[in-house]
Amino acid sequence: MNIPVIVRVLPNKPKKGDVAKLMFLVKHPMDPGTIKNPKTGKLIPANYITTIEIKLNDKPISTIHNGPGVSSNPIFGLDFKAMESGVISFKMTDNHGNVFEHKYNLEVS
Amino acid sequence: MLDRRDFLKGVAILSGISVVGLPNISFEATNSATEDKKGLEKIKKSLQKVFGKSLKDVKVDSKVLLSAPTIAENGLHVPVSLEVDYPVENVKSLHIFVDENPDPHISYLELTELSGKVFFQVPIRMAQSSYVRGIALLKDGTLVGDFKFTKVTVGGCG
Repeated sequence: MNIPVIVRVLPNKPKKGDVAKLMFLVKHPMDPGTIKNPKTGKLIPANYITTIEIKLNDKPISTIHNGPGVSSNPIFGLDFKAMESGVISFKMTDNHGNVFEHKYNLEVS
Repeated sequence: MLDRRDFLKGVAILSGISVVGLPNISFEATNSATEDKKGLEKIKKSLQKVFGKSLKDVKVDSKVLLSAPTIAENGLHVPVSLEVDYPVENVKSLHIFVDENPDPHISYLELTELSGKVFFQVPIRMAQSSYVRGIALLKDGTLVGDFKFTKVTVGGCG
């Protein structure tokens, strides 16, 4: 079980040691548990991603913690130091304890 | 006796007051509504829970830049970004709060040495018009922040 993630690094091939922008879209409904289904009138149960750990070659870049107030299909943005080429890994945990992973190959010029 | 020049001066001053003064008055009037007091209590409780500090401990700093729309048409998706002009080594985490939401603590980012600049962008849900507060926790324990009032036309929390 996996969820689609679209990753973009700006600029696409950052220079070694430069600060680059990392934007990623997580395709997830992020239900907060307070919205009613318009057809049935019942509450949609809470289902959202609580933590996202971002690592470059197993070195932590940063960790995002979410409450229920993040909108659906969110685009997160943050900065990171492109020290070396390698794999940026995303480890996402939702409020039921399910873990999703995604990997992106980073090239440094 | 009031001559023409004095009269014109008086008119100019009065119109200046009405142009500058009126929006401020109306803004304060909306802020002093009872709903906003509820929001203030909520944010104070939330800050106490997260940092163990009160709202007065948050210093409004010009180096912290919160960008949120003045009017958001759809409360389901309000793009918010927070940028802090401090070196990364001095900043521990970035937090985003919305006063009137059921859970005011929306999202936060923990920084490490590998994050080159202090920047965080996240789209949020807003239940109703409210203050958006971007707060940065520094390594020495002080809180710096930037606050912005965002009007929401259609709420996004059910």
